[in-house]
Amino acid sequence: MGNILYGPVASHAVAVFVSLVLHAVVIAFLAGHWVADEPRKIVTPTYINAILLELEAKPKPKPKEQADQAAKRRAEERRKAEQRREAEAERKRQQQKRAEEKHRKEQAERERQEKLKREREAAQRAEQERLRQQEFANALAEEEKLLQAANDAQMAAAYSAYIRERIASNWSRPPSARRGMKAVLSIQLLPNGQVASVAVVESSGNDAFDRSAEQAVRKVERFERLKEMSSDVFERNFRRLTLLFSPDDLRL
Amino acid sequence: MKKLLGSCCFILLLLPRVLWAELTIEITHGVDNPTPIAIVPFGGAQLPRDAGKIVSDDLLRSGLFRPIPRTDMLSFPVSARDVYFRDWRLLGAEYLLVADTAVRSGNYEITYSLLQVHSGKTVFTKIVKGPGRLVRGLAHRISDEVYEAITGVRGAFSTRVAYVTATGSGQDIAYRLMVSDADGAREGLMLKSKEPIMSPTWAPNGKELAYVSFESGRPAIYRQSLSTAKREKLTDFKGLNGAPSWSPDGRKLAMVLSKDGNPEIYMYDLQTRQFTRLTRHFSIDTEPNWMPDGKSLIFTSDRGGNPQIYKLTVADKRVERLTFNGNYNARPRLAQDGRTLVMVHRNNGRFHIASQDLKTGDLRVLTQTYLDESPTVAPNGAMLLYATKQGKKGVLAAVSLDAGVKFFLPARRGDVREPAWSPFLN
Repeated sequence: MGNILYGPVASHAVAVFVSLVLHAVVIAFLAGHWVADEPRKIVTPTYINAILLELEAKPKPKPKEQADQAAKRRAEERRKAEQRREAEAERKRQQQKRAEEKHRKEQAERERQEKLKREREAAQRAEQERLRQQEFANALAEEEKLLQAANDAQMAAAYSAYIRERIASNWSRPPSARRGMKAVLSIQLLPNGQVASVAVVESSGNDAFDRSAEQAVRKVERFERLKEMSSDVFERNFRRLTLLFSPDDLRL
Repeated sequence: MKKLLGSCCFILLLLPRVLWAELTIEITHGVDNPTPIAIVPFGGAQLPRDAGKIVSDDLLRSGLFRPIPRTDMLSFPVSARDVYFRDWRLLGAEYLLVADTAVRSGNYEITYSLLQVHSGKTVFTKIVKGPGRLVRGLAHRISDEVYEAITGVRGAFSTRVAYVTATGSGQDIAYRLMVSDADGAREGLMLKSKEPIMSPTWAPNGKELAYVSFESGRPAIYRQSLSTAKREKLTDFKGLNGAPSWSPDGRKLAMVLSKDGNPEIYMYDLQTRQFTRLTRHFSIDTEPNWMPDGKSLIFTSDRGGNPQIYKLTVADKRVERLTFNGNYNARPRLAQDGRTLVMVHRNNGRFHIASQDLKTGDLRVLTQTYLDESPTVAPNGAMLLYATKQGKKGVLAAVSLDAGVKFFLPARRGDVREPAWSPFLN
């Protein structure tokens, strides 16, 4: 995961590539979704021209007036047919109108959907972009922090060497000191480099040796260069120090 | 970029120890300079001698201290209460010795404190007391305490040295066996003779000496008490009777006798008066000296073609060669640590005192004088005395075992030779 996230940071080519891939994936996804919605497509109903038949038995006209009646009936029928045609036409018109209406509605809906989809996509893209930017910013901050830490460590090491040097040049070991002896002292410093306190926390078992170590620190009195140090490095590393006195340059 | 991130992650893994744990700085080197110490003139009752000066001289001679001159001192405090530490810091003193003297029922009582200048802490406060004639001894005891507190090594300022002097020539020649303080003061006569006196050796309790005297015309070994001067002849066999060495338990003497024809090493039991022959070799075996464990001896033998030092285990009489550097190593003495061997070592035709670490075999030439002889190690192993020549005169000189300090003991009348450093006396 880390690699993919850091990928865009690695190079612009990779960034563009990943972005494109992401877009493609999103579009594909959305498209798939839309297609799934499609079954709701407009089905134009296949309607049947139903003709209403009057199956009611009509009283048989009298033969006399049969011809008359036949004529009348024919006229009537013509009129009725005419009416039917008109109704039919009307209905057809209505139907067409409805169909058109429906089509228009569907068209609008489609457009709405389309727009929504576009908006959604844009939002997603923006979010994606935002995430990517944040990721990048985070990585930068992290790197900054690491660099700072490395810097601090370097500084701490330099000042440690300085302290070591100052103490060593003031350390006069008693003749009873032997290689391999160890005394641990804890010292407290003030930001101006002044030695505030010295305490033996782990004796070497040889009082003279312990005392010589304590004496070495006290003789320094003040580590002048510590006041050049940034205060957070001082607070973090130098307010309280552990000193291990362990000679390796003695004859015995 | 990725690489950088990677390395940063790596650094991050390493950092916690450095960054967030309490920083530990290891100091493995130092400069071993003499410790500056201010010895304030003792206050209170007037002592018959300037005890402060004696202490100061003792510490200076050890080579491990640099006493601050009195003329630099701004004040003469007599106790910790009166001390302004800042003044002493300015003088560069690390330690300060203040002392106050009182007289109680005819005895002097010196209350002294050792103070740490930088911390203002009192290392100790102690009292010594004694009569006026022993002020020197009281001062040496103070020196011992100060020395031990600061160096971690027992002080040997209260010890004594025996040696032989020769004055005059021809008919007027006189040999004297003398005993003095380790600093050469308070010399006392043990024996005076017209015939040579040689090889003094201390009993381990420091109350007796054994030595060789030719007073009867031929060498004989005597023992003599320091306090009563009572003496007793132990051996006067025909031939050589020499080089006695008192065993650490005080019951036996190792010595060289040639009663059986050839100088060999014998062990003489002071209670049973029995002799046990320890070496059997046609070459010369001489100068025995007990190892601190009392179970073995070191001695000089030329059984290898030239004088070298060997070790002899008393129980099985097994002999083992110890020295291999050069073609002349003789007169061996061991420091109390049982590990540091000192001897006369010939280098380019000159005789020097050298030390050899028996564990590592490291040989170190300690002296630059020549015709150096008879090394004897202080009981604390910090210094050795030896006899050497200054012009034509035999004198005693001292050198620290690390060869850092060298000085001559005060000049005496005549030639001085064969020093023997006493064991601890208190």
